[in-house]
Amino acid sequence: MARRRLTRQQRRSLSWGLLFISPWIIGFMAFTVYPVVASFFFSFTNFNVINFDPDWVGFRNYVQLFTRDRLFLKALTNTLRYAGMLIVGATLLDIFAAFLLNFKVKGLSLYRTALFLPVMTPAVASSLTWVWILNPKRGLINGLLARVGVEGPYWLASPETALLSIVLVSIWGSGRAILIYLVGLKDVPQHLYEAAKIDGAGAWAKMWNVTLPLLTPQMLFNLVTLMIGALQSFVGPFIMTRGSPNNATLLYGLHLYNRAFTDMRMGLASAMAWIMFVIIFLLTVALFRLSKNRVVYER
Amino acid sequence: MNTEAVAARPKTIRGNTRYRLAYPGGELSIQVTLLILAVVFTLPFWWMLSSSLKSDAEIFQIPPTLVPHTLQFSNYPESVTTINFFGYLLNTLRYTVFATIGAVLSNLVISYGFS
Repeated sequence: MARRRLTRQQRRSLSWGLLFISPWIIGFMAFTVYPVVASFFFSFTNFNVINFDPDWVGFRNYVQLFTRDRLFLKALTNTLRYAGMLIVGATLLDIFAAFLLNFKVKGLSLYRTALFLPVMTPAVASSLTWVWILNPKRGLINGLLARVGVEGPYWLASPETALLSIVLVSIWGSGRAILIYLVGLKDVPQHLYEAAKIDGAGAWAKMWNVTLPLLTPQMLFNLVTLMIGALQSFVGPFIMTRGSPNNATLLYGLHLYNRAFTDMRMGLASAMAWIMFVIIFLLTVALFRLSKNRVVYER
Repeated sequence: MNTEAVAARPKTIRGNTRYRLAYPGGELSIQVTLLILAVVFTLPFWWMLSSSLKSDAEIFQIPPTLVPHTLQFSNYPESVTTINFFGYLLNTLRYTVFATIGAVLSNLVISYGFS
């Protein structure tokens, strides 16, 4: 095809084009492609940062994670539980909030700002504040509860409630999804509501048969991004608990970090990263498959 | 469906109240729910602000206070002087300026190359 024979001008514009995108190509090669390939290679070695000539160990890292690393399975189940609770909680709250923010009420811009504010707060700052708010004795929440005579839970300090506390903090910070749902709601054509009204649909019928089906593209997008974000989450739990108490909040990212930068077992950590990649890939494919006949794109 | 009924309705349907009034409870309940949500979501920011004005003794007081008893504004000048505040600020500003310039320049050129 035309691929072979480029005119002189085409060749010149090609080389200019390549020159112009070279900052991106170089950056992408050096900071994305190379680390990805290197971590794949290291996952089959016993690389430990100090020894730059690691031994090839085959699948030993992968086998070891599933057979000998007691904390690996703990971290994996913690992460799946965290992601499950976060997805359910955040999706329900975000859709609910988006519905409310779609009404023309007084002070709407203030409410929208309030619900979006957590997204713009640096994760480190908000996590540190939440540690303090959730403090069993001196924290704001238990202080308020004590005022009405309720003894609050120990939140981050108790193995039973620690993971749930982190989920709540994450839901608090999920305002970006509210924004996307709100855009989806604004995008629902009015004539469909009018048609539904003519057909005698009540408020709930309109909600179930018009609004929610037309919101499914946004739901799919938010589900996928939320799921990936939840499975990879690191900063919040790292600041708030570092896996304590009793490894109740040891998420996958934290365990990977510990293996890599505390134990210096880069090979094992690389293997963990690739396992998580496969999990996320499979879950994403599954979500898209499941959504195939459920998401409404046609208007 | 009877065409007469359809023709008779548009007046009420086109009223630009959207579908607000169709929802149970009406505007007040929406306003109240939104207010509760907004208060819960901004509570951490209020906590940061109120704590920034508390004295050391009040910060560790049990139970915690929602509004500081005495406003200790000296926390602000103190936070600027006890750490190398302006040094860190300068670092951040330098980082921001160079990162922004670099990102804009490279993205400008790259987008031209891709187009």
